[in-house]
Amino acid sequence: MKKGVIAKKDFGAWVEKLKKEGQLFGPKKRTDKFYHFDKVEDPMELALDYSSTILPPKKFFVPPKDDTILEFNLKTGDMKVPKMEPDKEIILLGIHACDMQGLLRLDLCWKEGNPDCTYLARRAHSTIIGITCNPDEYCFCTKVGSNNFREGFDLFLSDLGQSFLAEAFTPKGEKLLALAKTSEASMLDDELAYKAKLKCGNERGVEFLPKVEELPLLCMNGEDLPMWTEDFGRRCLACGTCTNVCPTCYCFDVKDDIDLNLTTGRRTRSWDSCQLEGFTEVAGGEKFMHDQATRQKHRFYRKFRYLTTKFGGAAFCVGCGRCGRQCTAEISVPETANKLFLGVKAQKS
Amino acid sequence: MAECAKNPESLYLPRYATIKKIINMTEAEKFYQLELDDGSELGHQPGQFVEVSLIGYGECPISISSSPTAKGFELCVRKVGRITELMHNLKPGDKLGIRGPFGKGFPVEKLKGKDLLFIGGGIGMVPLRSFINYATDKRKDYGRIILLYGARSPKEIFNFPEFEDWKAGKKDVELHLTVDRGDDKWKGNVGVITTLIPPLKIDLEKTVAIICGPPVMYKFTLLALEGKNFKESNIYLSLERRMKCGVGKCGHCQIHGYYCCQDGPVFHYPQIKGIKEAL
Repeated sequence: MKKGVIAKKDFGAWVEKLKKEGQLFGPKKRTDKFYHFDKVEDPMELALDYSSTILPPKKFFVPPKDDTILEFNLKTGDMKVPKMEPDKEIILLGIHACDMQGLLRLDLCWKEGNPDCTYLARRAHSTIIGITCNPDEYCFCTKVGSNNFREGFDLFLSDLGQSFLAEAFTPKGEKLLALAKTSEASMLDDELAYKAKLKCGNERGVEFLPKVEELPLLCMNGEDLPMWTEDFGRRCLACGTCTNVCPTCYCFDVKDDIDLNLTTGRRTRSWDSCQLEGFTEVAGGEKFMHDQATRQKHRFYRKFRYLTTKFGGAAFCVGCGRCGRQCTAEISVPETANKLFLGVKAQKS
Repeated sequence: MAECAKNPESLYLPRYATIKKIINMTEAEKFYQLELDDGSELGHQPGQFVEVSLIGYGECPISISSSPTAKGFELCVRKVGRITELMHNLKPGDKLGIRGPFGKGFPVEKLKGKDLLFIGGGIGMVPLRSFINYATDKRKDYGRIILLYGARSPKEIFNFPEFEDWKAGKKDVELHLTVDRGDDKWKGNVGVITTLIPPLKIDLEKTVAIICGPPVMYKFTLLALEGKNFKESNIYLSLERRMKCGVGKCGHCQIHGYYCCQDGPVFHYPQIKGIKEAL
């Protein structure tokens, strides 16, 4: 592993060099309260001490809307899958551990069974530069075990105050690190980096009663708890925000669009949400998830039971806190997990 | 990227098929005989489905109604949504986009030597027909072929090309028909499909039930089979879901941990028993 210390005064010059290596995206302030990942033009716009962004980095690999999966020409009958590789390397600067874990979960899903080569091509042409984070009262990555500062990252930056300790874990990361003006890391730098990593998740101490590995079984035993129908089913407004902002939600809808020339067009996919009433509706009107309680349960179970047991291990909630942060009805994963934990416990006694 | 080295484009790229013949089944259903333009056979198993594209309009999942023992393939399409309505306007010679076959079909190999009890309600007959024709084409491989078929009214009974043969007992298919509501000319059974189950004389050890119908039918059919001491491990069901992508990605057809388009649409009853929202 190569590492080095980048002084903050030299950081801007490094970012300028990164811009030439591909399409560079990083966290920027969007409004007073919110951050977003956006194209980096000026290094000064970067808000590397951000807490969380509105949308997770999945948007670079599965765009929210109108991602073309097929191009067609109605006159000639030609059909073509568009070029899968992005024109330039996608470089994401300033990714938190939870979001990296989110991408790793998505990788599993898109690879499994029938691999989706468009997604995989975009991921293969991406370089991820992680950063230590600045958690707020919604973060709970340590509770779901996603405070991993190494797995999936090409390069990782730990904020040491006046500088960053940069650790490269892959050849891609080493290549980008070589573009920076660095000094040798001391033992103290390593220790400060360790401290910066520890800060993640723990600072605000969100209450999360169950152990994450207990959740698949709690889900199994908690299917009939009244909390689904009487609490979450009633509170949820079915807006679908939670799935849009989730780093591991990837359900999509597909539609065909014909251009104004009435000849050419494309088949595109856009994010869909299991929280919307029509999600499971088939022609004829039958809905297989017929009420909001069922849909709420489905979302939570997909994170902690279905995909967890399917892929044999890690939770599909990475503790980024976005769904709770954005929910108008103030429903959060920790609240749901705690009520499930207490509900199942009460059921048994 | 190793996953994508081989034929990376195939996931969402349809193949063209040409409509060779259209038969009107009922007021709402048409029957299409198709052949793939590249001359290949679809290579499906009975019980599988395809994603049918009207390029420029969209795509929908449709059960394959023909047996793989026949040339080409056949679809029976009810006019019920946007794409199927447009499909009803097509003529022989028109082309459809086809992806698939997808999903798990009926376990035709595993069921060799068994008596087959098909229980089909309404459009549920469409995938069952694929297996029925497969079994009559490979007659020696299977025991009795019993078909319970329920339609809402006599007008809604599907007049499949071999239906007259079934009625005449020619293909060795023991057909029991019923309709929810008869009409002036109807002389057969009137009543829901479950009324056909109690009088059946079957060998419980040897018989396998294969069920497909509207969502409401499963629960009552399972109860009727239970009343006959039918073994749960001898029951297979084909389920309907919104199988939008067909390849286990888009999420619409998920039944708990299962993706209906990959793990189904045919399920062994013990797989899904007790799963909420499955039946």
